[in-house]
Amino acid sequence: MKRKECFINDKRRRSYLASVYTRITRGKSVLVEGGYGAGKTRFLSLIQPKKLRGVWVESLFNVHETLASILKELNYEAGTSYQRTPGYLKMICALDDYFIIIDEANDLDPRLWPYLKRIIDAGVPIVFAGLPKVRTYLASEHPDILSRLKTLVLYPIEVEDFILEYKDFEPEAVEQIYAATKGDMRKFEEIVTDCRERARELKYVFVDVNLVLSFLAEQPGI
Amino acid sequence: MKKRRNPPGTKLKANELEQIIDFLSEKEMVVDRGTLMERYGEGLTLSLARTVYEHNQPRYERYLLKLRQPPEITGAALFNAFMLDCIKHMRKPIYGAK
Repeated sequence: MKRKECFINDKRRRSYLASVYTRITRGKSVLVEGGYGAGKTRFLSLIQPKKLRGVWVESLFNVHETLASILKELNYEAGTSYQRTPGYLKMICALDDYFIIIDEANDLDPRLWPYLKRIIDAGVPIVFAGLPKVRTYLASEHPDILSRLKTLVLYPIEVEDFILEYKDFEPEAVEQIYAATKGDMRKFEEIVTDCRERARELKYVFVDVNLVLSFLAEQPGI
Repeated sequence: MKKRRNPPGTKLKANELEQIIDFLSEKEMVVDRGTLMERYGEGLTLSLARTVYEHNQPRYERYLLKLRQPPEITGAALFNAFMLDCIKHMRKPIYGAK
């Protein structure tokens, strides 16, 4: 995926991306915080530094599966064995030129956090992304870990950016979808796709506000 | 102790949120109370609502010219546009111009 693909030209997001690069190049970690549909996963997919390899970690794994999966991603043969956990942790801490990405950090097993702290302290950068409750949890249970992270709060993209991006939509149409979805980008994109399909069926070149309002009126509980 | 009662025929003054709702209803908007309360919690006042409306009135007139929908949907669409303008207006002093 190219760096600028699917990336709406939002100043704050660009500045966050630069901030993430600076942090991970220095071996420091980051927490990307945002509500549902704020665009955390998409933001993570944009992090592609030239000199560091990104290792995505599934947040639902338990401790030994997580450590083994990091090594596997780095092309090491690592069986998922509970007994090998200490050895794996040492290996992960000793390796360099990579960084770890953990999406949905709110799902992480609480027992994993002390291991992640060792990894952070070894200078392996970790980029976490999750709901605001991750920060709340860390503040109460692991303030030492939270103090090692730079927190970047991801707000939903502003409507003006969407208007610039969706050129086949009338600006008022984009506004109405944005207002109906209350800034949830996932829902926003679903409705955009559906409205485009509706416009194609009706042989419209342009998605106008009346088409969008008629479509939204048919969707209860958006 | 006796409870104080309002004399018959007197009406309690509407609170600010109700005044905003009345103001927007006069302008033919269909108010979504939940959304309005969120903005109110973020600092929307009656005077701010009036300012935002006056500032963007030509835009709402353009909206009305474009919309070919039943009054209920048109009113809700106008309210949505107004809420976005309020967000934009309230964002400025905090984050500066984008």
